Amino acid sequence: MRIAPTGGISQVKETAMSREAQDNIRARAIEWHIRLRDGDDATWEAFAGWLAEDVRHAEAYDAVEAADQAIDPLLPHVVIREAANDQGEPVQPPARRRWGRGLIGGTIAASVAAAVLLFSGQASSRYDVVTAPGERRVVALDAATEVTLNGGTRMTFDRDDPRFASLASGEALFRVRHDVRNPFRLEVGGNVVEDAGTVFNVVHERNEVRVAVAEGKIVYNPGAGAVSLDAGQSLVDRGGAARVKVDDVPVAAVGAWKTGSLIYAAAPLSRVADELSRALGVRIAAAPSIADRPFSGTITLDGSGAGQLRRLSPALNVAIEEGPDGWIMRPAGSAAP
Amino acid sequence: MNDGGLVRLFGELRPALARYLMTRGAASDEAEDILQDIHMKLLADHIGPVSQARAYLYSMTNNHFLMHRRTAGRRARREEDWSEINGGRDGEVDERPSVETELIAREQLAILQRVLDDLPERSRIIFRRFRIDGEPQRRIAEELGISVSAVEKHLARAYEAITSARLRWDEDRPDRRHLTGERNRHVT
Repeated sequence: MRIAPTGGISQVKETAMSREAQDNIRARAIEWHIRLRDGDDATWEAFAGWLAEDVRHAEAYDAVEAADQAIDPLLPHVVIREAANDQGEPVQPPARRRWGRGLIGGTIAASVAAAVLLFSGQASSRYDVVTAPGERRVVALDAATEVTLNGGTRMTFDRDDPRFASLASGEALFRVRHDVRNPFRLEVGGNVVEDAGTVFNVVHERNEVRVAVAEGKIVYNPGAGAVSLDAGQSLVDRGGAARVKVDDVPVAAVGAWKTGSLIYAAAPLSRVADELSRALGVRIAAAPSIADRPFSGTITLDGSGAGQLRRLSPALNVAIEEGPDGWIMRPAGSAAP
Repeated sequence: MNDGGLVRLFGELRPALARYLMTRGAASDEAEDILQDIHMKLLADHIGPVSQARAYLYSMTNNHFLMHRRTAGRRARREEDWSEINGGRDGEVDERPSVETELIAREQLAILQRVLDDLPERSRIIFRRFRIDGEPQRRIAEELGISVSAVEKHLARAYEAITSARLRWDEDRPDRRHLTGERNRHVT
């Protein structure tokens, strides 16, 4: 820090200066955060060095990163205004005021009204569909396009644009009518999945996006860095550098949850647990020691809900117990009898 | 698959990654757990050749750290809720979006929308291309005919506004927990 000790500095001045130093650190933290997204080896190593210099660096970085993470679920709902939109109808801001006072009034209403306007104004036609764990819903966007939401899933659709969908979290299976001139676009965690005549499944959880294609073809993040997936392929995107990994997937396994089957080829138990949670409507997790253990096989859901869990334990080669946090899969033989 | 290199590099980089985790605020056993997770993951997944391998491992470590923190936070909150409710709620209910969390999410969305609306248009569009469309800075710079550092300045302005808004939000509501919203005790 470059706070030069000049004699007789006043209290006020001192706080002002340290605030300035703080602002400086924040500005640096923001710079790092921006550079790290596509950061190379040298950037990451320099960043690690900077963090270690001063605890305030780590604190400032924490705040910036947390803020950026927090907007993740909000970004799909935000309207980015550009000149082209603004010139057409320059009347939006007053309208917002009128709404806030006239229609709802009251104390909390102002902020809510702003949000409501968001949905009813420029993005008026957007609506959310949410399923509880264990619940399923089918949304038909047009005669040949339908989306099946698995349990514990939140999506946004657009009444005026049947070619748009956004998956905030959870899992959904898409059966999409292809139209070259107007491709179906799914937004998921800041990424775009664009179809080319397709049946595909998308999962968005724990900052991870997984896409698997059963029929046709999709393009993930069209533009530079696009990844195309054909039928029988899947990808995992965990964010960060060198992010997307493509793999093969049995076509029959894609979206098989819809018909009550969960099909795995060397999938980590943590994922099996997540998918069982969504399908059965109970919370179930794999203990860390076996979370990465691969499982291959098919689980056919028999409709008995949580009751099926215990019967699954031999097939999964785990002990399944109920704890205060829901169900836990532990290494077989470690559980109390 | 040629990922033996990545696993070996991970072995070499492990002390540096542990230090990184600890400067990020992880306790040493927590750092060990995270690195162990990553090691298992590297062994299980066949990750193809990676161009910036150290950057890849740092970024993977960072992601795991964030995941770990989130899980720990959820667990702590559940325990807290448990004692507050002191009844036999089965916890599962907490995960469902309540009217209140919905309300908080809307409030936050409105704040974010305002923050973005208040940015100069160019910063807003560059932010969208970088953060929402995921374009790299260099491409944005080329297409707009400006320098990469100019792009970075626009992005910095956007992130500064977003970070301040978030800090203000937290200060205004000391009893609320973070953005994605828990219960809101002001609204009854």
